Amino acid sequence: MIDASLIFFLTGLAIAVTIVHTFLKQAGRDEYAYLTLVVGLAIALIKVLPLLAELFAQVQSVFKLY
Amino acid sequence: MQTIIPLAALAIVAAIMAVFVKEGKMPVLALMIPLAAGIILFLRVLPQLGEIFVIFQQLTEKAGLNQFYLSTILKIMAVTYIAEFCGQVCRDANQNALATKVEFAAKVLVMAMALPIMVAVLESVLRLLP
Repeated sequence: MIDASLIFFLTGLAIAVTIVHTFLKQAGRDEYAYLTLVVGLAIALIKVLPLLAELFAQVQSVFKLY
Repeated sequence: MQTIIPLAALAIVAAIMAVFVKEGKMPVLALMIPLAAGIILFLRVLPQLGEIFVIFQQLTEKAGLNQFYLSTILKIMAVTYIAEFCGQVCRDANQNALATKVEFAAKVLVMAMALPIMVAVLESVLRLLP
């Protein structure tokens, strides 16, 4: 069964990325600050895309859509 | 009844989290949190939907109807659902044009799948006419 922890994970990821981004921007490292955004987006996609693939697979199997 | 409460709580929490995240540096995640919540909700409901479809299949067998019609209807429902889901996500991201195009593609696919049933209906009408 899929649990709801992914939502809390994504929220925590957003908070962490925001903090690191602000920190790096204050330190004058704008390129690293942008890099944190990219890494955060990549982590979120890595977590969400398998779920989306599972949704499509389940829909295909339940609706007998081959 | 006992399964709707966790789902409702999940949806409310996801909405609150999305609004909170939108203010930060990653508004993309404000799009992905409702997406993940929607996927989780539907995955929780999907097994029961499967049971409903099994009952529909049994009724179709008892009524002696062609199995092809039921499977076509199920396929149309699946295409519509996935297109609707995708369109809502696109609309959440303020990509209204993309959402409209996805829905148009779904309409074309539904039309292509429904055409055999329409042809069958027309043929039966023609058989009834003298």
